[in-house]
Amino acid sequence: MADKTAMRSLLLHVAVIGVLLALNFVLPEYHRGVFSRILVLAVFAMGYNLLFGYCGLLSLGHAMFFAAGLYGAGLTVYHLDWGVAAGFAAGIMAGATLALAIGLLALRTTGVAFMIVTLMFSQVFYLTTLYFTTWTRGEEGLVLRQDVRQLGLGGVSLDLSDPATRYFVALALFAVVLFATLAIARAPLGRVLVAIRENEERTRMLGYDVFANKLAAVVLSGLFCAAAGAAYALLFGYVGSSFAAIQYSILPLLWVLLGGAATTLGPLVGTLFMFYVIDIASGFTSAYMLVVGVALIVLVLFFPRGIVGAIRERWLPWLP
Amino acid sequence: MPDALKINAINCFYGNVQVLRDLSIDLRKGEVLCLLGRNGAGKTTTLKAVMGLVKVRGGSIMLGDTDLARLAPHEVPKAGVAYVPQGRRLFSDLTVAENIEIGLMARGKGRAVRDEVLDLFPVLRQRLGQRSGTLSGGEQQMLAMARALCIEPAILLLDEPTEGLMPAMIARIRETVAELRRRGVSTILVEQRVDAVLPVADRVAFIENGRNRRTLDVEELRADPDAIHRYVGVG
Repeated sequence: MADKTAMRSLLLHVAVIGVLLALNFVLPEYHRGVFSRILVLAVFAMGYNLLFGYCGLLSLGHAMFFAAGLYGAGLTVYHLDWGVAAGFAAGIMAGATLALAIGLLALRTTGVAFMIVTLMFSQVFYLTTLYFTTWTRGEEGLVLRQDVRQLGLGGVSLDLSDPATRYFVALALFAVVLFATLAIARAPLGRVLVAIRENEERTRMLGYDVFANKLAAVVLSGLFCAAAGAAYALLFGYVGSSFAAIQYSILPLLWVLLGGAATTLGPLVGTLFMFYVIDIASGFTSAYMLVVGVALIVLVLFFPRGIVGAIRERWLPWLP
Repeated sequence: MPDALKINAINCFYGNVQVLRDLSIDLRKGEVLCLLGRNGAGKTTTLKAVMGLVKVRGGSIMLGDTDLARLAPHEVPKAGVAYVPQGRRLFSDLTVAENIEIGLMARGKGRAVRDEVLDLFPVLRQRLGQRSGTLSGGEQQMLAMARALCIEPAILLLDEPTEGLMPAMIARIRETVAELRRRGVSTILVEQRVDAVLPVADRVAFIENGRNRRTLDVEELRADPDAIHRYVGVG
């Protein structure tokens, strides 16, 4: 029974990747570009989901992890002439290290205090990017030239500014993080995180080190978000402090809530939905955020567990 | 009979309010010791002190050579103490099987322990795929006990396991406690009702104002029913 469920969900995820791969060949140029962006931001949402959905920790400061990856990759490539691969690694390391430091401090708090502390740290990060304008150029940001965005792979040089290459690289990153999330959700760590979310004290009474498990969740979450940030910088060639602003801490929360917290595919669905609601609504009215607001209210009223969460609850209980 | 757990003159506070005052209790190996007392007497706090959920000031809680009062809360179960709190506190969004799995993973136990635990609570076998929040009160209590037993504890702490259950379920819980005693598990059972404990307890400790006023064998208690009123005024 368990094996059958595992196989079914694995096949579903493979099929989703297959569909996304096929979309590259059928989507018009504009939508292919939008999808590349959505795939990278869905990775950001998956990182957020790991902490919020599975572990139940609501952070209001995840923009700092995304931005740590963004600046970790962008600054090293821009100022130090590092290659794409080294810049990507630097971005991930920056995010994971920051997450470890923030986790050690912020996890001393819970609930609302945790939200406030993460928000404050994130604001500090944002203001830091504005303060050191010599390096970051603040709001104006840095533009990574096309010639530095070349990924050497087995003797072949991939131009990350090329739309098709960008799509495939974004999809590859998305696939890696998606299957990593699936593996974590099924692994003992994932079960323990859910147990902590459900009842922290009871989990501790079963002999689990709650702090260590929560810290692991923060670091993994920060690492995924930083991977998204680093990929964003390298694929789209722009590194700006607006990505460290509070808006980018709220967005992943909305994407995850819309798609379905603690579901593996929810973050993608939520990001996709929100992106296209904004995209379509902004074609009709300048008050498109009003449309987004109404759509959010309707969804929260009728699908309180998010789109994928509702599907799992009503029709497909085996969905991971 | 040697002691399985020796609580020695512990003091506990909630803020500035002292809840346990030089409380001492000896739990013997393989016995069921019941803590009786009024609301607020300190019964639950005693269990929480053993688990490290309430800070102990002074005294010791010895499990063999280990002073549990010096361990972090998550290390106490690893030392072999399982706790089933009042109100069950299941992971209600997880299924019965997942709840048990969490218990098994805590100490790296495998399928054999799982089967052993499910043999104790056959009804759970039929509910493995069901979300635990949707179980009946009695079934939830069984699952809470099953999950605690997954770590194969030497000491089991049960806080009012029969609270709010119908008589048939109370009898089932009692049978399970008796079966665990036969298997050598030492149990501290917190109850408010004497009739719920007499059939299963070996000794009864009367807790009043955070002190252990007296510990009696059940036989002594049966021979002198007024003792209950004399010591704590419950019945």
